[in-house]
Amino acid sequence: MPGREHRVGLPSRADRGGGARPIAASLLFAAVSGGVAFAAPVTCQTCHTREAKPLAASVHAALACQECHGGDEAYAVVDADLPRFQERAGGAEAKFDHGSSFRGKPRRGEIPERCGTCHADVERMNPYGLRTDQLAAYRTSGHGKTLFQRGDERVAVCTDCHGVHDVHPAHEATSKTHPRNVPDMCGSCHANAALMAEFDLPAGLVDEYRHSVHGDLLLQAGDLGAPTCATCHGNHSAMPPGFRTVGAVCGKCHEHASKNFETSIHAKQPAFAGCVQCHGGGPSSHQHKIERITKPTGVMIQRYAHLMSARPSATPGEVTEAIHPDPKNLLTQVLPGCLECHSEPDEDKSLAGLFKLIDDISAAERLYVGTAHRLDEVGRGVLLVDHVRFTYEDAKTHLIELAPLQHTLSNEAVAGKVAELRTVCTTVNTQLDDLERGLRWRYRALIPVWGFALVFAAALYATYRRLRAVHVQPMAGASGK
Amino acid sequence: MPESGRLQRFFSARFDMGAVRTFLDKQLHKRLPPHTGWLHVFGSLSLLLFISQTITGILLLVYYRPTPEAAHSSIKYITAQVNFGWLYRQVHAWGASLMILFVVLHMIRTYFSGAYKRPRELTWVTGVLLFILTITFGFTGYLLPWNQIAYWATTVGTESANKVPLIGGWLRYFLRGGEAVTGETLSRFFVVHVIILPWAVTGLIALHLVLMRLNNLATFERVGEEKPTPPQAGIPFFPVHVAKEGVVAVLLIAVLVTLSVVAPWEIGEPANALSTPEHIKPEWYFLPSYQLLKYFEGPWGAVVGVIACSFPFLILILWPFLDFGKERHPRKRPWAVGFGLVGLFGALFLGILGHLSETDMTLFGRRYHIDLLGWPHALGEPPKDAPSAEH
Amino acid sequence: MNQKQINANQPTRRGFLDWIVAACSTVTAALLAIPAVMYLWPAARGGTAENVEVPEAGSMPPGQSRMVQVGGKAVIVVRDASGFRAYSAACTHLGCLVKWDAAHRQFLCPCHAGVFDDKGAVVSGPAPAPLPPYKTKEIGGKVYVSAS
Repeated sequence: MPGREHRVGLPSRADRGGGARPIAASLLFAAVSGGVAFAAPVTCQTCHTREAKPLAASVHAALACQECHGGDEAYAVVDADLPRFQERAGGAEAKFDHGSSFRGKPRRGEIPERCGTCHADVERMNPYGLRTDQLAAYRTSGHGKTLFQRGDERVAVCTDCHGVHDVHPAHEATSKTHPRNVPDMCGSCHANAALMAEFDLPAGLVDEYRHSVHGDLLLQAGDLGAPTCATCHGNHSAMPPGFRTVGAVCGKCHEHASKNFETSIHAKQPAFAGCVQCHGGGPSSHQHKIERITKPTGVMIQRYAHLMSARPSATPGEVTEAIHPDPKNLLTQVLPGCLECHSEPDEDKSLAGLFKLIDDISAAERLYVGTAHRLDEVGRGVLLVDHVRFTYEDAKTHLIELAPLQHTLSNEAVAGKVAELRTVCTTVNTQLDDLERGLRWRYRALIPVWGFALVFAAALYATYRRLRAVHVQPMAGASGK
Repeated sequence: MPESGRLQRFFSARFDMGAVRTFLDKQLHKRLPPHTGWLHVFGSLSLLLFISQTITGILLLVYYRPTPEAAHSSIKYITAQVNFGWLYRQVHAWGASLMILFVVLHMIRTYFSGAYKRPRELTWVTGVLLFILTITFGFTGYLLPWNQIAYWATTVGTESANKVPLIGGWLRYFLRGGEAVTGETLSRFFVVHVIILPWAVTGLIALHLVLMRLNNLATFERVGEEKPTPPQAGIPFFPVHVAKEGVVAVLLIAVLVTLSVVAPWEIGEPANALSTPEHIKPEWYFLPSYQLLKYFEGPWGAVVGVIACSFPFLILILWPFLDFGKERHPRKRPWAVGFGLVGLFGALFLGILGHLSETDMTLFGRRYHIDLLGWPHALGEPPKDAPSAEH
Repeated sequence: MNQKQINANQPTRRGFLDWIVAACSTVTAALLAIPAVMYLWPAARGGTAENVEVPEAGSMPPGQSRMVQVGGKAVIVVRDASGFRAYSAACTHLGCLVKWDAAHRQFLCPCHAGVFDDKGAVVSGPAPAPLPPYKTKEIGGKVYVSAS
């Protein structure tokens, strides 16, 4: 077994068959000290219940204590002696001899390599399908470099993020590494002002993240697809992203927006900080409070759908109030950011293009909602709009495409997409017009119907009068009638 | 014409054509009492609407599919795709409401003119049974479009069967064909609506008409003291009375078409057993019972409520035998007329309350919320003003 | 209205009235009968494009196919990395229904060994024309097919 040499002092499962030897030795010791009553063999769990319990519930439940801590599998201790070693019974009186292979609790600095004995072992991890590069990655991380190169043990080691005995897989909601718990987990150090001050690092980043659009999504809306700290910084190879690479990190998810931005005039300005220039908010210069500048189209569509389900008979005015993005509002949200660089808005010609961009997009949104509203109104009555609604779905696609497309800052590109949307809406409105024309035809047909009915009724009435005069003799008493 | 002559020869060789012709002639030209007026057309208008319902119903059946999966979309198909499908659906839906209205008007006329009295008690009883069957027509037909309102109105309607003493739970189970309103309910409502009720109503109408013809129409004369009218003073059914009914019939058809265009019945959302829409209310003809039931709470109150709702129908059926006075003219029977008016306005009042309940309305410039039981509550007023608002 | 007046007007007015009533009755009969016949005439479905949902398209693995009926005709829907494509499943040779050969990414006709590539073009066999394409549309996770 060539692998054995690497596992120094760590008895493998195969070795544990030899556990009889320490017990035999203890028995010998006991026999020498005089015939005293023995309890059942004493194991780690007899004393270390506080550690054994979480371990049994953890992903490492199948591991024996000895695999990390060394020591014997069982000890022969006289029953009456046991309380002397147990701390909870009023402080340990004597130090328990765990045997020669005992390695005890590792120092913080030893932990990565202790975990790595298994987790960096390809053969050992193979059955679990786990990666084995975490230790290597950790060495490259900010944490690992500080630990291994500077010997600074204050940095995060495996157990800080994964737990000690209570290690749980990330998909379990109680796991420290579950996406929703990650901000707290990172924050246990990075939000600690005193600790961060020692490293000259800002402590407000986690809080900024919590109030960012990403934090909102993850922590408020419960969207597990939203990025956590580790999504941008990596996990084992945790590194602060380089200043110029922020855009690349965003682009991992915001693929279209990022690609479109690369073609824009802003991408060519060396002073322009990429995505965070517009989207990075927050008090510090670290831009962790990533913000939406404007209400995104998806939210607008959701609001519209919500309004319609809550108040199906909303008037167009109410719809506008609840949803329509007001261009002036948009400007007040966007303009302050622009003015950071474009200091003279009246003289700066390039800003006019921006206004057109915003006008075009908000016009498209108004057109989209207006058409949706008309579609809903027409469909509520007796006309069927199913096939029109199907056509209309294209408009939604175009509208959502506008959001990443605006990052090109190209009026032509946006105007082209708006024109596509306009075409769909025009088609939809034409189809609705056709349907409603059919209804108007019904109304107009009522005029001849009533003309005919009145003529017919009058003729029948006259006939009735004539026939009564012909066929019925007035009764003697009722002639005055 | 030789053609008709040949036909006549063909038939008279096979049965006594003369007897048939004499019978038909007699029936067709039978003289109605001289006072037969415009109020006597409600019965024939009800019949006209029944015929219209039958024809439009058969036409709708061509495309309608009575399954939960297909019912709503087949109605949509009829409305949107089939030529004039919208018209037939609307005429059928409006016809149902108008038919109930005209049956009620017909009953009101009969009641107040004392026409149900001896010897016409059985005509009245068949008439009340026809009224009940017409309402059942409305109830079963309402579910067939399988839209949200229909589904939940039927759920609420069949739920009230649960309050019938002793057999309530069983009755509800039987009506629904299960624990809840499902495809089973749709199937049995469909069968009742298109097979059982049409034939039952047709048979009862035939009986109603035969009885009506045997006794002729009633006059205002006292029971047992009717004087025979001189033969020439009566109004021949054909052509005179038919011409009069023709006038009203033509106008009724025009009204029906107008309602279909101006106030169409919506298709609505397909039935969804998992989401109850707000403010489910039954059709107007169920509103009085709907409102009356609300005032009886608790398990026993509900039982009393159901009895209170079915009591008027029992009274109606038995009425000719309860009101045995000899007078027919309304002025000469104040108690019967008073009782009738109280019942009529009571039902109207309850119906209006039922219609207004759980809505907001403006009265004398102030907003009121009408609660479940029909009490108004002032909205947006300071509390100290509330007592004075009652005066 | 008194008897004399009626008698005086009778010859012309009576004839005119009878004519109107007869004409109106005829028109009414026609107005009732013609829409009924039009109603019974099978409605043309051509006016609006029929959109058929591909059942459980989301669970279709890429490279697999599914058959759906669009306007009564068999249509075969294939999913690949880029999305969904749909073609008439009726072989252009004699109308047998083609099958999707996932391994070779082609449509095979079982009747006379016609082969079409994954874009519906004829590869080999007796088929005279490519498989006509259908339109596909993805809306909210659902996939719809309609005649193009």
